[in-house]
Amino acid sequence: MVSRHEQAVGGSESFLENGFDSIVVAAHELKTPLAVMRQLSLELERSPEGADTQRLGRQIRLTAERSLRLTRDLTQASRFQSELFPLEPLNSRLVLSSVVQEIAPLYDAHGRRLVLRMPRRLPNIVSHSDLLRRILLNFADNALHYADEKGLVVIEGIVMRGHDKVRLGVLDGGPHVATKRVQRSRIHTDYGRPEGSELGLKVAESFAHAIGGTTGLMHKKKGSFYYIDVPISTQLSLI
Amino acid sequence: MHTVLIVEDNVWLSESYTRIVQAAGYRVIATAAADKAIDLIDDEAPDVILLDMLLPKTTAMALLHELQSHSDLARIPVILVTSVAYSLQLKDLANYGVRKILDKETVALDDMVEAIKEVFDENTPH
Repeated sequence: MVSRHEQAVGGSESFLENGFDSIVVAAHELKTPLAVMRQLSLELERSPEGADTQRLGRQIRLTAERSLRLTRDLTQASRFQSELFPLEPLNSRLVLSSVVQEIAPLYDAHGRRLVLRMPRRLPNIVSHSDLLRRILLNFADNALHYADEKGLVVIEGIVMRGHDKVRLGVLDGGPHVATKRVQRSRIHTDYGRPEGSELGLKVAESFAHAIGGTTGLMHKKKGSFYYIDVPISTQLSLI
Repeated sequence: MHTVLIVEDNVWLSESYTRIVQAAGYRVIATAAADKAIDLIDDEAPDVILLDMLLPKTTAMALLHELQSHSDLARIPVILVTSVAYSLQLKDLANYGVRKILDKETVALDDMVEAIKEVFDENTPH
């Protein structure tokens, strides 16, 4: 049952249709300068000039990589209409762990921590590994600046009632749009931060749409939980 | 000393690759254009080519075709360093002499030198 504070997300086609081409062109144009920034920052990180220079290099690299993730997602989202995304059985624990592993350095550089929380037995799921990871990376990216008072953001896996799906998501301590505003308009244009463009979340939503997943936002007492629901795999022996 | 040819149209990237590869003990020659690369290959006989995929004017694919049309040049291993790695499959490009594909968006400094070493190891008879 969907609670008053829980809203499923759908209808990503309009995001792809409304002025998306120009965004994709811009993303393409940004790829090379960002790759240059990243490459030069790698050299700075290895510089013998001292810890400060290395720290600056690391911060520039992490920022460039964060931007590159978004440009890559945007360019891929533009090709959705001509691509098929085969689904396969996946180990949900490994998916969550790999997301944490990839984005933990960015959190660390910002003085935040991304904590993984999941039951000991989290079932395997059926999804598309790369796109599912990138959905969760977008959620984690969005949550970066909304850690709780302890500096924590939690990435979480939950077995849903009925045991036919797993909810994978990111719980942070940040503000969210008012429920009334969510109800008033299409959720995908409104379910981000009040002051943000929510571009990454829109991309995540379109990815979820491409792989038949359902994204959503739950307002919790201490913050927001951005999630995707994915079906549980019955082909356990294939993992 | 082995010679590495870098074909990269972004000057700063080319300079960065040059510093990294030279620091690993290789001789480096570099150019920003595929047509100039052909001249350099003829003149300098590089042992490996680091090739950007998206080049202005003469394309990287044209350069790969040209290399394959000469039996002596077809043996030169090519490592693609590209921002479109996600759309390329090594098996599709193996017939063009491509031995490795490095993603510009994720490659680490050591990856490039490791890739060169691995290509040389593969080419060395045991």
